This record gives sequence, C-alpha cells and structure tokens, in this order.
Amino acid sequence: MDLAFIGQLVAAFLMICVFSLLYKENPLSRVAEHALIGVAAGYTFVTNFWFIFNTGVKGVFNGNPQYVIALVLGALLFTNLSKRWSWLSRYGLALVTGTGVALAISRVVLTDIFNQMVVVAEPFLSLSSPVQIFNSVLMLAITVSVLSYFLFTAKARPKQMGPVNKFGRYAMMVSFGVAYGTTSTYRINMAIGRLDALLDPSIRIFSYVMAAAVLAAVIYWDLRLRNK
Amino acid sequence: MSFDFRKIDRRRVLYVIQLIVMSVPLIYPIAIPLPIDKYSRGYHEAVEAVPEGTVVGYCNFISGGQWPLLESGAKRTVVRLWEKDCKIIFFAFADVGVPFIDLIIEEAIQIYESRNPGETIEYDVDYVRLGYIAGLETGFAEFLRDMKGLVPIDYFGTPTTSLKMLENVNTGNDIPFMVWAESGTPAPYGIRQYQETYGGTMVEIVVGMLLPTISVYFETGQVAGAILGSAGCAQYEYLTGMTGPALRLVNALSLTTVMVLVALIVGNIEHLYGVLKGGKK
Repeated sequence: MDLAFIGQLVAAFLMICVFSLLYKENPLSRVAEHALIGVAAGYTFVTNFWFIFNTGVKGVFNGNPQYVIALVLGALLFTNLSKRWSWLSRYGLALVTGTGVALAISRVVLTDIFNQMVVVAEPFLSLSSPVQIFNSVLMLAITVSVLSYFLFTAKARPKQMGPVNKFGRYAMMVSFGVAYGTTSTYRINMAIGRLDALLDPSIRIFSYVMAAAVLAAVIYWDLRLRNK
Repeated sequence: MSFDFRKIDRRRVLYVIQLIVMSVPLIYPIAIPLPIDKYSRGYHEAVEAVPEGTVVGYCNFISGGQWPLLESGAKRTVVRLWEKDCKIIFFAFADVGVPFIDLIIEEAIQIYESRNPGETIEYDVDYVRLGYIAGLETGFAEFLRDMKGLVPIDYFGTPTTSLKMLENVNTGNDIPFMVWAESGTPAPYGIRQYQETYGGTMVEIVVGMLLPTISVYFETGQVAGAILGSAGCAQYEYLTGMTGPALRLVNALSLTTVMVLVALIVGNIEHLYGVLKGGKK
C-alpha cells in the first residue's frame, strides 16, 4: 500500500466526516474542520519560514546586507502581540501597504480604466458591426447610469435623473445575479469535484464502507445525546 | 410514534438529493452536448500560437478545493506547451499552490510520454521549479524585474544562476507567454504587472465563478483566453483531443444545475400557492 493511496483514503475519510454535517453538526465533522485549519496554518508557517530563510537570512550571509532591513521590519510585525510595543509594527505594515498601493495604482489606471474605456469606444470609432455598436451603446448606458446612481451629493442630483438611476440599479441587480449564479455554480462544482475524488474507482469501495461507518457513528452519537 | 414530515429540515433533504444527483453521472457517465465558448477557444488558439521553444511562465494558485475542477486543463496546457518544445518556469504566489505543481508536472509527464513515445521531459531543460514566492503583487513585480535576485535557489535548492534553462531569462521581457492558474479570488495584479508592463501574452485557468472578472479583461485583449472551471477544462480536452475527467464533471454539473432549477421553480410555485391561499406573505 503506497503513501499516495493512504493519503487518498485519509482525504476521503475527512471529506465524508465533513459531509456528515448534512445529518447534523457532530464531533467527526468538527475533527475534520479543525484538522483542515491546523494543517493549513502549519503548512503556511513552514512554507513562509523557508522562503524567508532562503531569501532573506541566507541572502544576508551571501552579501546582500539590505535584507537585514526587511528582516527587522518583518520581525517588528510580531510586536503586535504586545500592547506596549505594538506601535512598532506599523513601520513594517506601512512599507508593505505603501509599496503595494504604489505598485497597483501606477498600473490600475491603464489596466482597469483606460483599456476598458477604449473597448467601449472602439466600435464607435471603427463603425464595426451593428451588434457590436448596440453592445457598446448598452455598455456605455450602463456605465453612465451606474456611476450616476452613486452620486450621493443630493443637491447636485436633479429629479430628472430618477429613471437613469433606476436603470443603473437594474443593471447592477442583473450583474449581481450573474455573480450569484456563477458563485453558486462554483460551489456545486466544488462539491462535484470532491464527490468525484470519493468515487474514484481505486477507493470507491472504501468510500462506501467509510460513509456507512461514519453515518452509523453519527446516528449512534445522536441517539446517545438524545437519551441523555 | 408518528413521524412529522413538516419538522424535517428541507434544506438538508435537498442537499442529500443534490448529492445523489451529482453522483449518478460520476458513476455512470452520460453524454450531454458540450458547446465551445469563446474563452476556451481563445485559450486554445493562444496556446497553439506560442512559437516553438518559447520560455513560458506558469503561476499556480490551484489548491485542494479547485484541484478536481481545474487539474485537467492545467495538465493538458503543460503537455501542449511541452509538445511545442516550450521551456516552462513553474512558480506559485500562494503557498497552497506549491504541492499541486508537483501533481501537475508528474501527471503531465505521464500524458506527454504516452502521447509521444520515446521522448522524455527533463528538469532544467524543459522546465524549472522555483517554488513559493511571497509578496503577491509586490513579489510578482520584483520577480519580473529581477527573477534570480528574488529567487536565489530553486525548489530543490539549486542556485538559479546555475540553471541552464534560465541562462538568458531574468525579467518579464524574457517570458513572452504566461499561464496564470488562479483559485477562488480574482487576482488582476498578474495582468497589471505582467501583461500591461511587459506586453506578453497571458492566459488564465480559473474557476467558473470568475467569469464576470475575466470577461472584462478578455474583451480588452489583456487576457487572450481562459479556461473557466470544469466546463472550460472539458472544452479544452475536446479542443486538444486529450480526453480526461473534466467531461464527466461537467455532465454532473449540468444535471445538478437542472435539479437546482427544478427545485427553485417548485419552491416558488409552492410559495405562490401559499400566498394565494393567504397562508404566507
């Protein structure tokens, strides 16, 4: 029996424990949840530790003294654990946030605003197919109406804008509906993925046995709880 | 002792029925027609257009939850790129993505060798693994500016400066094609820092939930194509002629979606009936 197969079996058992939530919350489902959180936290710690060690700590000894600054700022983040010294953690956080924001903003204008505007305007400029022009008109109308919906300075909002705002609101509702639909489909898709792993021909029989055992254990636990 | 059906938690009953409906096509596969969408077509065309021997970046965020949905597309993309003699640099900006790179490589090699008997895939010739890189957007920007500076050793501890495959590769300009395999959260910083800054071609492997996000970048051409969830993987399997597990999953998805729609309609009819009788509001 190889290690990968044992891993598959353990994963299948934990999945069945989580699915036992369909009956009701029980100790087995909690064990699976806690195991997931514990393993994820441990894995994240180890992976990040080795990245910092290989890049930062080894980097200092390999002639890159500038990494000392990064290591010190990183270590300062742990001062958050003390009320007295927590203010020191702000230096590291400020640098991380500042660098991230600066890098993002310098590109967001092009990536998320300018390029989208070009796509909206392009069919008008090139006089392409009527369908594309219709799509662009619709996109333009939705963009303007949604933006107008978020003009909250009441005095600058004439009454005539009412239908425009309403159109913007409907457009947003359609958009949220699409987002909700794709999200729920994704959740279903994830459950199917898990089920597919459980029903893999190499472990299918084991899955059936484990599912029956977990169900029996949960029902037994529930009955004992009720009798108490 | 009588059993009161009205006390049953109907949501749980629906979930159990849903589980059963999902399981049927997984155990007994059925054939449901599969249309090819523009995102998968764009993805396929972009991969096919990659010139032979190109250096390709492969950033993996796929982890346990998304693995069954996206593994097929990820592996088949790697196989197609190797068949075009591309050199792939594997890395991950999410720690959870690292172990799944192992699986992608391992299983892609199996598919490649079964399709191309006698040919083998070698480390530092056909691919390198750089492992996990921290920093997300900041890390990615630095990675594209000075790859070997940020990642001094590869996944196996070999100095990146001594890797032959990376001899002439150190910045985003040296990577003309990027595969961005995302998980649940949209990360447009890949587009911002790579496509917008260096002008390379970018394709994405994402869960279907990200369609609204990806479509925006697809329309602008910033993303050349995308595999969207298991449906996208099934389409890519069909387009590449490498059949796999995604078709089975997408059949289960179609059937379950029909079941959800039926439940929605029945639930609404019941609610309407209650309102008309004056019982519910």
